[in-house]
This record gives sequence, C-alpha cells and structure tokens, in this order.
Amino acid sequence: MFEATASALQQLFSLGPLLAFFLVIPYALIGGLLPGTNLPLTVILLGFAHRIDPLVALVLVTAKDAAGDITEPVPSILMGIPGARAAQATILDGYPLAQQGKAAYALGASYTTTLVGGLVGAAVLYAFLPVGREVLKLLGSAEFFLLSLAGIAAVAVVSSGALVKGLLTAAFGITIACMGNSFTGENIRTDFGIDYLWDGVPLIPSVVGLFAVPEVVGLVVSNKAIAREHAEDVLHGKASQQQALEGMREAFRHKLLMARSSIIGVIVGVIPGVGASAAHWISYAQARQTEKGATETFGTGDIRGVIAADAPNNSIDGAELIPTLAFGIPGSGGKAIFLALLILLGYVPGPSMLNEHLDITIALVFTIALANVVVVPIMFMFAGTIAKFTALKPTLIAPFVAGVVMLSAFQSSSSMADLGIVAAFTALGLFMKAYGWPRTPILIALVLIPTVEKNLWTASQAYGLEMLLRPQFLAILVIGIGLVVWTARTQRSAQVAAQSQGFKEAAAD
Amino acid sequence: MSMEENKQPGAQPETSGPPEQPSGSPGFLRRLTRPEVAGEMVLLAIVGVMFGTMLWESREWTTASALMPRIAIGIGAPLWLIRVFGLVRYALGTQPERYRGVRREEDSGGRIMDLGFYMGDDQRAALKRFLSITGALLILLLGIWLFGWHFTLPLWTFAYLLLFAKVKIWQAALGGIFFLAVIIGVYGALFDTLWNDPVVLRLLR
Repeated sequence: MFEATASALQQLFSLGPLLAFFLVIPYALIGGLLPGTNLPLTVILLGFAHRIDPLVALVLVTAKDAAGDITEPVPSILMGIPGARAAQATILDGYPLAQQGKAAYALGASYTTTLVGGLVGAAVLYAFLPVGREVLKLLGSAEFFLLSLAGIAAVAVVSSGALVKGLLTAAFGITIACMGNSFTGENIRTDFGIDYLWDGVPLIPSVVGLFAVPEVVGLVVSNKAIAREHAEDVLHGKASQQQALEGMREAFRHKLLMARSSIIGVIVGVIPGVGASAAHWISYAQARQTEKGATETFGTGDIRGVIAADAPNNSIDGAELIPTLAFGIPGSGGKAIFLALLILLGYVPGPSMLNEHLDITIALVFTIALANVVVVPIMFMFAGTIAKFTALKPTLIAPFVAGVVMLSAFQSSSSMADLGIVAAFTALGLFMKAYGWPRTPILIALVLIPTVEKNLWTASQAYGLEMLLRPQFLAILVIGIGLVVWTARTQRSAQVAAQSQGFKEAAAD
Repeated sequence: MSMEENKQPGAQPETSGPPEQPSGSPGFLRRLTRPEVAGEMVLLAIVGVMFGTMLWESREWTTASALMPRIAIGIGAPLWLIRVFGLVRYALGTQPERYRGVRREEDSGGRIMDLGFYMGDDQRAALKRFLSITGALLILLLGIWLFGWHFTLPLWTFAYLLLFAKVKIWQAALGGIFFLAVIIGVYGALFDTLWNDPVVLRLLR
C-alpha cells in the first residue's frame, strides 16, 4: 500500500497529469454552474480514450467532477436556483442569508464544509482499499455477475422511483446491450438487418443521444438563465472577504454537524442509485431533527442548514468510486460514463484496480483531495466572477455543447451511422425523459453487460446451478435485496423531506 | 410531446377516482390517444418489439449467446405486461388516474434530469423553444450528411447564435470560426479524423 501510494503521488505530480488537472479546473468551475455543460468533456475523452495517457484522462474526469461540485452551492445561495446537480436543500437557508446581505458568509461556510466533506470522502476511499482487496478475494465470477445485476436493478428502481418502470428499463437496456456479435463470436444477435450493429450498439453515440442531446434540449426548453442583475449584485462587493472568513469559522464551530453530514454523504455514495441530491435532503432533514432549535430556525437563514446540506456534496464523490472501482458497479449515470472511460482506457474494474493498478486508484483518491484543496481557495477569491457565468443564456451555450458532443460521437468510428445512432437514441432519450423513464439503467447496461455476460457464462460453466447455493452468492443476494429495499426507503424519506420544504421531489442525478 | 402532456395538467385532479367513461365509448379512444398515454404506448411498443424480436431470434443462437438476453426478457416481459395492462385499464376507465404513473407537470417540480422537461409558466413559449432546438438539431444532422462537417457545423452555429441567441453578427461569426478551427486544427490536423463524404459532393462528382 505504501509503495503504491508513493508511486501514485509520483505519477500524479508529473507534468502531464498536473497540467491536465490545472487546465480542467476553470472548465469544471463553470460546468458546475450550468446544467448540460458538464458532460461534453467526458464524452470528448471517451472519443479520444485510445490516444490519451490513461492517467491524464482519469485525472481530467475526476478533477472535473470534484471541482464542479464545489461551485454547486453558488447559484443556490446567491440566486435561490439550484445549479447543475440541483442542490435544492442549500437554497432553504443559503438564499435567505443572501437576502439578508450575508451571501459571502453563507458561501464561506459552504466552501469550508464542502472541502471537509471532500477530504472525508477521499479518506474513506483510501481507507477502504486494503479492506476491499480482502473482500474481493472471496468473490468469484458468479458473485460478480450477481453484483452487477443487483447494481443495475438498484439504480433502475431508485432512479425512476417506480419499481415496474425502473426494472423494465433495465431489462430493455440489457437487450440493447446484447445486440450484435455475441461475446463468444458464435452468433450475430438481433441487428434488425443493419450491418453497422454487428459490433453492437456503440457506447459514445448512445451516451450522446440518451443524455447529452436531451440535456441540451432541456436547457433550451427550461430557458433558465439567471437574471443578470443578480449576478452583478454579487460582483458589487456583497461577497466580502471578511464575511467569507466568518462563514468559515462558523463551519468549524459546528464540527460535529459537519462530520455527521459528511458521513451521510459517504454512506449514500456507496449505495448505487441514491444520488447526491437525496444525500443533501437526508443530511438536511437529520440536522433539522437533531440540532438545537433547528425546527424553528431552519429555512429562515440558519447557517447550520447550509452546512448540513453542503457537507455531503463532495464526500459523495470519493464514496461513489468505491463500488465503481472495486466491484464495477457505477452508482449513477456520471459514474457509469467514468466506468466506460476506465474500460476504454484498458483497465478492468474489480480486483485488478485494487491490486495491479492500485497506484492509479490511489492517484484518483489524491486527485479528489487535491481538487478540493485547490478549488476552495479559488472560490473564496473569485466567487463573484464565477457566478457571472450563471447569467449566460441557454441559447448561447446550446450550439457549442451540441456541436462538441456531435463531433465526439462522430469521432468514435468516423461513420455517419454514428450520427444515426445519436438521432435514434435522442428520440428515445427525449421520450424517456418526458415520460419519467430512467435512462441511467440503459447506460449502465451498455457499459456492464459485456463483462456481466462473460461472468455469467464462466460461472454457469464452473458451478452450474450450484452457483446459486454458494454462500457468497446467497450473501450478496440477501444484501442486494435488502439494499434495494433500504435504498428505496431512504430515497422516499429524502423525497418527504424535499416535499415538506415545498419542493415536489428530490432531484435525480 | 411532453409539452402536450403538460399542457393539460389540470384536466383531471391528480387523485381522481375511476373515470366514468365505460369501455367502447368515445372516452376509451380519447383516453388512449391522450398525449401522456400515447407517448408511453410508443415507448412500450419499442420495448415490446425489442423483446419479441430478440426472443424469437434467440431460438437459433447457442446457449452462451442466448442466456443473457433470455434472462433479461424473462424479467422484463412480465413487467411490460403489467405496464401495458395498467395503461389499458386506465384507458378503459377502470383504474384511478393516480395509479397510472404517467408524469405530469405538477409531478415534475420543474426539474431537468429524468423527470420531464421544466416548462416554466409560459407553456406555449416552452413548446416553441422545444420545437426550435429539436428542429435545429435535425437540420444540423441533415446538413452534416448532405454538406459535411466543415461547411455545416460552423454555418449552423453562426445561424443559431444569430437567430436564437440574438447576438451580433460578428459574435455569431466568432462562434462559427471557433468550430471551423476545431474541425481543421484539432480533429483534422491533430487527430487525423476521417470525415464523411458529403452526399452533395458525391452528386456533384
């Protein structure tokens, strides 16, 4: 572990990854504010995965995600509007504080809390690595098959909030992922007479169609540009340094609350499908119940409300990487794309990430920690300037996002058929988005099914039906079912907390 | 699509009881073709075709190839039937509206991801925006196929910025030049991308 840590540090602090890290930070800070702008970079990287140094690509994505989350509370506090990942709970106390002229005070507390949360998440991920290595030794192909299937099911059930719709989408996603050449090479499975589909449904155009283009459409339809005068208010000195420092001190006065809320983020992050927004609400609700006098003061501009809502914001990042790297189960759409990138770069999630490539895994831990340490001071200094980007009109952003993602989709195989896939999946994505069918399970299925299928076949050959009686298999089955039930209940309680505060539902990621 | 759905959120109260229209009356068809039901029927039809085709074709596959699709269809088919049955029952008027699980504006809370489009207060303007962006994207795809990337993407960006973002001509031109530079400099020179042969060029040759 020590050697891997030293090697990770050495690699991370070499020229390429370090340069990539600092180049991506400004992009991430703006991307965190604007819905729909975060995905293009990951899509571009997917397209160029085979031409980039693997560590550089992973550092780019990890730093982008960690840094982007830090700007999340800015529009919530300053304008009362959630940013890219819908930090709704932060609005409840952050926005009233801004209206009282204490925006910088709230932002100061928020950044400090986010920094601590991010470091807690990274530390938990680091601490998990030796434990994870031992756990993985107990698992065989049968268990990995079940784990992946349970992961897809959990995300499906939780992300839709409806059992039937969620599982139906997951099954549909698996059939899409099974199209084309079978993994044994013996059969061409359902291709609807289209030769292009012999290699299966390509991942990058599907991601662009299912997620990126519908997000561009959503961005334009919502027309959620923030009034310029609000952003300019901030620029005219409301965010004073002194207030921000006072907010920082205030956060440290509530150490226990900060720690508790960060740990909630970690727990939620480890479980596939629950998502960051639910973590915000769960944490806010527990603070409201446990903090002294909070039932009266929360919602009126209580700084503890900001701390409770924002601490899970970044602790979830490290935690989400645990199931993704160790078991190959992405907990969200974002992590599914990350997993796809990992696979395209030649890494296999699971035991190899915690053994042969432990240094890379540890480098990612340090990237998360470094992103928090670097970005928080930047935010303390330039919050007002960065907030100005929220005034950008969606119609100004849309053509650039659309152009970049289309280029990336085409880049994957330089075929016009790629754009046909984009069009088909865009239609599907728009329908699914409009009718509340979750799209994430399809993405996860596209990423995971090739491996899942191999594991299923290997296990069925090695154990036959006896695989169903293996103690590890049964244990995972019981834990998996329990997890799905618990996750659904947890999300429902987050939903209740959101609804009790006037929001219709906790946002899905 | 979703606009139509959301245009009539107040058509019935969210927790209304079984509607009075009996089966076979005009109400049945009207309910079945209401945008929020018809759209989901389209989705279910796509899923049904996929399941049916794959299951039928899997007869000729080896066990290794057929195992995973069959497991997925085995789980998915009963759920598909439940969903179709639920929507038909709603159309027949034997199921309360709240059970049908069709999203409406008041359910979505004005959010973006996976929960329907945020419509805002002005539904007509939102519909216009939806049509403008989807139409523009279709034109982009069609343009790339017909005229290629180098011509279409910069011109499309220029036109979109000018028409919809209402920026000044020189600003829109900068947007177009940006993409021309990316196509030539990054994708062309740096990554040696193979571009498609535009249909119009082929015809001209």
